[in-house]
Amino acid sequence: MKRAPSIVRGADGNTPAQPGPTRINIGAAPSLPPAASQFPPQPGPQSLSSRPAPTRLALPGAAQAEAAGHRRPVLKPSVLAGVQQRPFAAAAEELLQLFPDAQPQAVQLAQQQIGAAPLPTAGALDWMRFGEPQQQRLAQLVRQRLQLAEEPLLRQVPLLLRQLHARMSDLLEALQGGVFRRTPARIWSEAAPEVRLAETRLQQALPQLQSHQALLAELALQTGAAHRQLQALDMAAAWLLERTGDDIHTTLSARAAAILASQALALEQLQLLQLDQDHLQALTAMVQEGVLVRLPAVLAQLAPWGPRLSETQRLLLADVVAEFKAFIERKLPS
Amino acid sequence: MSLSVNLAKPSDAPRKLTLNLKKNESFFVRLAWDCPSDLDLHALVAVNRGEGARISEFEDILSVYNVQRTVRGQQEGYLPLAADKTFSVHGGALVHSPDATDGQLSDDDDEWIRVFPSRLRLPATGYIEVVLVAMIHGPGKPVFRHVKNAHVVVENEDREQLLVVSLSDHFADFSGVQMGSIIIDGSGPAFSPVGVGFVGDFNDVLAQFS
Repeated sequence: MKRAPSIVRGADGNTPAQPGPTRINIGAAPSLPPAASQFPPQPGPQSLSSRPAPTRLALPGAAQAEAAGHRRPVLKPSVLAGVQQRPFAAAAEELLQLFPDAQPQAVQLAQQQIGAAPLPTAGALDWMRFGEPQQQRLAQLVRQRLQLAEEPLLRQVPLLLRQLHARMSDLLEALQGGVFRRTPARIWSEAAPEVRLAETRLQQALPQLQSHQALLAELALQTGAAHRQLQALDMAAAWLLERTGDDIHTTLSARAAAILASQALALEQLQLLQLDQDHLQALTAMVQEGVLVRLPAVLAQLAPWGPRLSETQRLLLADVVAEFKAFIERKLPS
Repeated sequence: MSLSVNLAKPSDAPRKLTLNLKKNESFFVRLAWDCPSDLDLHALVAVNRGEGARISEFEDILSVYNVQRTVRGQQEGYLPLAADKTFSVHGGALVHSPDATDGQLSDDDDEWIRVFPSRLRLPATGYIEVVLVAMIHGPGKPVFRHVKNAHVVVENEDREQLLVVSLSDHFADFSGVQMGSIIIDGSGPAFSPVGVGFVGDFNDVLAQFS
């Protein structure tokens, strides 16, 4: 059964706010010729009582909604009196012609960016801001990465490990009969408090390292999303450049170049974030193995130290300490 | 004619019970902006009997202006606030987030409306239109041009975007936008985009739908 059209009346209650229901084109958006010829200038803002012209609308997301299996509405919505705005709308096929290798998700993102672009009637001033929020978002993520990279903990942990390495080197030298001829017992009595303090601080640093890892992972996810948005903007700009007039072309070309530069920056950030994550993972693993497993084993050997070391004890201790020292050397980059 | 026999044996496993795993459809309207302006999402549960969508009672108005409050000593509003500051109409068929008066307080959505069409009772004649509107509130005649990064997204239950509208860019000269309507009839709900900008206040909207 066909339903009567929905008509919202003007404020006077007599005249219909529009002659008929607004027609919504929710199918695949048509290929749009240049804006100047296709879209007449939009009227300025109207009050609710003014009479809007009926227009066809292909809003962003409608094509995707249908592609996603959303039921096509047969009934037309009642429309408030006002001015209908028609953003650009790209069909997936048009984008695929420009970017044949694009994945469906990338195409959908590009369609959204096209739908969110300035209106076909917008001037160069509006186009100056095309892609700016996404660039600002990336700049914010870059700042966050720098902030995380400057976290004092990331410098403190290697310093503590180097401190352990230095004390173990002193001890090993003494155990091997070093040039200063200070007894191992004397060396260890001086070093033990420092080693135990370093051990405690490294143990305390472990949960912070792990939470830092989680922050880096989250930042990498967000930077990945920002990169995809910029890629979509790049696709959108290519599509829009073919459909905007000469007056917009220069501005949009400049914006497209800036977006491309941001895209490269996003990619670089992703690579740096991967390096940060690898470094942090190695540092965390080193603290886990070195401080939770190897150092307690060394300390256990040193604990029952008597007033005098037999030769066998000295050799055994030298082995244990040398192994721990070598572990730090292997894992901690100089 | 070829002969055929039933190939089932008594020892065969009985057919398993199956259920339709599709949940009732829902819609999610999200509004976000990045400055101290006060933007609001509104929804009207209207019935269209062939003469346009009409609301008939305060229960049909999901709006912060319809929330119970005291204004200059007078009790105003119809909808009670829940403990979490959300409010709803028609037994939770439409739920509104707490009112956000500043878009800078959250990095995510500042306001949202969830619509559960299955919780609405269909009228004996006609069909339901859930009219979705975004507006700016404030003294003077503010328009979206002054609002940073204001945008509205309408999603279905699978978080697929049915509508993305930049209020700051597409509706810069307006104080309100009708994003679209969720139309609910016997065959189920469907979102239908509209995209109409207007200048006026929320009572002007109510005047057109009542």
